[in-house]
Amino acid sequence: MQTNKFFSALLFASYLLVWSTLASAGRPSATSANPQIRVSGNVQVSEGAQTSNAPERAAIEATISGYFTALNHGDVDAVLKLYTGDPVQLPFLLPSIVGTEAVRKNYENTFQQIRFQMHTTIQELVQMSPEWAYVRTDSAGMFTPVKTGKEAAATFHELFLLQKSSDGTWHIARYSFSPTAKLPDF
Amino acid sequence: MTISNTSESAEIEAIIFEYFQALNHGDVDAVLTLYTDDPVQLPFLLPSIVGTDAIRKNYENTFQQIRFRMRTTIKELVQMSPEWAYVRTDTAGMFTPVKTGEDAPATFHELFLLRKTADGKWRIARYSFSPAAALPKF
Repeated sequence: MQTNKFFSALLFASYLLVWSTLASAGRPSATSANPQIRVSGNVQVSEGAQTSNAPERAAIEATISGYFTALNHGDVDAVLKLYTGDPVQLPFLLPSIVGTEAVRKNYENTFQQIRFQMHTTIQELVQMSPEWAYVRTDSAGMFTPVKTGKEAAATFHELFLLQKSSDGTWHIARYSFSPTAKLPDF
Repeated sequence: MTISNTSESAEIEAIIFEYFQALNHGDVDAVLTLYTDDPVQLPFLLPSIVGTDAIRKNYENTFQQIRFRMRTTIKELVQMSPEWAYVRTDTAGMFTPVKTGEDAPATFHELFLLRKTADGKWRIARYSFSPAAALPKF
């Protein structure tokens, strides 16, 4: 038992070492003027933006792509599935939203007020440890207040912190976003 | 406040409090020393700001327009790996547009990603923030 614990600790320490070495070797480039690679209908990735091994990168991209698809569909259940069990959202013009129930209510309110048709570019995707990654995105598209029905162009940027679950999928743990220019009234 | 998985919370906290002190003093040089050499900022109502020079210009513009007297609460401080941590904060205080000189209450929330740099110091690598309620015009 003692020996097992010791080896588990050693194994974990060597994981950390490998990850910190990889992270230092692959320091994220902050440049955003890279060519784009499409990963799904509404999400593309800046080439060279990723610091992660291929299978994890694909799993992380799938979560981000799933998020914006669910947002464009106004699908609260689909959005909620992509979050961890203890999410925090930092929306603009609202206090931070803590916990699954509060995050659900916020999406319900948002989708009652706004329809989105956004195209998203992953500017950076960095795996920071075996179980943590961040993704930085730019989103642009149409923003339609339900009240007026008038489409308007809108741009946002987003910073996601994702956590790997025991089943190997990545979930959104923290999410901060804001518009990059003034939005229409909604 | 939730502190997870770190023996370095004091060092990380110090960077965050120095950041808000520099913000309250409108001190661009002091702010810049707290960032890594490849920073990205996601401000409210502006496109993302990439790189040291662009970030310097953004603080120069901001401090020409606004004076801050903010108090900050660290809501979470989590070290995610030997060289990455995140800090989530809530900030409240007075926001004074230089043009009008009229103090107004303001609240913000912030998400910092910090990276431990080669000299062993923690620095701000990514920073996203927005007001938690409507701001006065500036």
